[in-house]
Amino acid sequence: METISIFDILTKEAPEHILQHLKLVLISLNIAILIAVPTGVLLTRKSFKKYSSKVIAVLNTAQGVPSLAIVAIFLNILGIGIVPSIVALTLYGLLPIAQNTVAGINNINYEVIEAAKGVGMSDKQVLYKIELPLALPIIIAGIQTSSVLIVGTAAIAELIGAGGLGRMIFLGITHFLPKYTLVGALLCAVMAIIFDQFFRILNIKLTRNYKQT
Amino acid sequence: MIRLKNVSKYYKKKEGAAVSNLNLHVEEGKICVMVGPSGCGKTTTLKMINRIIEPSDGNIYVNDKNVMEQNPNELRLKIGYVIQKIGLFPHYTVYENVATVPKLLGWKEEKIRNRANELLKIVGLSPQEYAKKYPNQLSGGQKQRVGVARAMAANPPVMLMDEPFGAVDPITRNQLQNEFLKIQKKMKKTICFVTHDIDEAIKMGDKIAIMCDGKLVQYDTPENILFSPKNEFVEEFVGSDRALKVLNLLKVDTILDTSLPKISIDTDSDVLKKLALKGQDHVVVLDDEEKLVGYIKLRKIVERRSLEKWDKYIKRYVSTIDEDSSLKNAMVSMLQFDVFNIPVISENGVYKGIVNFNMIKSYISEEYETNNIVDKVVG
Ligand SMILES: Nc1ncnc2c1ncn2[C@@H]1O[C@H](COP(=O)(O)OP(=O)(O)O)[C@@H](O)[C@H]1O
Ligand SMILES: [Mg+2]
Repeated sequence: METISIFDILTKEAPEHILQHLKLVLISLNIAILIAVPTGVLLTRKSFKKYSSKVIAVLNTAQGVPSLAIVAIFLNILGIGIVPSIVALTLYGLLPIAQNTVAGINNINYEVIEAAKGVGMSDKQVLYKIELPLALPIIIAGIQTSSVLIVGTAAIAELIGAGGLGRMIFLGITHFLPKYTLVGALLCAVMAIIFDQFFRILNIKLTRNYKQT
Repeated sequence: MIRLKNVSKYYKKKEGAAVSNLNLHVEEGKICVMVGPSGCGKTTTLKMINRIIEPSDGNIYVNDKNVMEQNPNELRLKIGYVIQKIGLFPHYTVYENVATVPKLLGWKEEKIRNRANELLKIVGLSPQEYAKKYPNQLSGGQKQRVGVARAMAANPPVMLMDEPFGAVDPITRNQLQNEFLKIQKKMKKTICFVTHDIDEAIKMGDKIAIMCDGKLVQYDTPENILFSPKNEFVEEFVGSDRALKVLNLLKVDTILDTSLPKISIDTDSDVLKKLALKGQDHVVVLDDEEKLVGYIKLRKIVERRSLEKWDKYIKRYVSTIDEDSSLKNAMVSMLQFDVFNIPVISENGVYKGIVNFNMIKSYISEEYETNNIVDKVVG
């Protein structure tokens, strides 16, 4: 095993871990979006607005907890396996998306919202036709931050049995196989960069036509 | 028709009323301009009409229906609204902005397209050039035009306009005002128009509502506001240059001089000689479509040389003005170009007559002879 080349690790063993890692990231990121965007929207509605700073503050504090600690906490609550890993990763990705959804909607010029109401749009139409589209670039920027966070944390989630690139990294460490650790860490970094660039380019594409003035 | 009955608004119970016991009646097809210092409650009043703000007290009727008994969204679909800072949708093209209300009303695609293009033309933006642009690619004046077009899209009988021409330079504002008045001449909408600029109020209003501290001080025609201010506040607000403001009210066609002989480019030189012999000083030269070419100073030429090739003596006017312009516009042009005569032309360039500085002076002094402010104009 000590003689296996990096090339062999990349072609024979890595693909399975990459796929698993990707699966973890995509599932948690999607769940995080599904929870955080509606939560963010809710926090900008009239009746909930007063709670928004408190909720964001709580989430902010939670984000301050190191990812290793989050993973450890979920080991105790939900045990070992894929599900607790996904729960932990999802929670970890919530804040940037929720925060940016709130910021994105609150940043829209008041007169644009007033004009939308003034021409006769219902609250729902104002949300779907005006607020969400205008907040979208900032929401996507939040998703971008989240995705990078989740890619990194997913490697640590191997500690509660998540699998993925973390498995290669920890295998390398525990069995003194530095090549595995190196390949796993590099692939992890590459994946983070790819997610980052994907959302960055998506944002440029979406907003190239207009600017909020 | 818009009617406000004893309308009040208290934002906070402890503070005074932002609008207090307001009664106002805007007749069908007329423009009512609400004017007053900043913070006097103009915007609040306007927003209560389309229920962006709910009145604390009183009743508001639009076309004889109580607004409080209608669904706010349906009410707003029937009322054109131009807000103080325009508020174009930044992610919509000019076309999509204008098409907003028709789309909400569920019009057919084709009808929407025709209407949006028609409106863009009405507000002076070519659809080919502007339909696909985004608001951030437009100048201030162009944004205002789109804002007005969006408000008029579904042809609402009633329009609310909150300082619609506030954010542009004076020249553009003047142009937008003139164009809007032209549109209103045809459309005859019932309009509540807010401004803090008394000159704009005098120019745009069939009636002017002067407000102060949430109360209506005087509701009257522009003439009466200028000449019979109800109290010191109105007098002060209108300003000491009331006589000059009268010029805003009067259109150039009220004193248009059409007596100058008109000749065409191929008029025989004998005709010119005869005119000169009769003592005629100036003649106006028009082309065969009645469009202005220039003028000739007959006497000077006749004294010196023959008139065989008279067309080389044609001089151009340094400036012309539109037949819709006010006497104030005419005066401003005269001062700007240092001339005493300015020809008036129609929209398509047809010559209408001349306005003359002395005529403006004597008209004002005759018309408002009894009024002591006149000496300030002519004196
Ligand atoms: N949403 C609001 N909440 C509390 N006070 C307001 C609000 N809007 C306006 N006011 C107050 O009401 C008064 C009238 O304001 P407004 O109608 O905007 O005046 P204007 O349009 O004539 O400048 C001002 O004293 C202003 O501070
Ligand atoms: Mg205002």
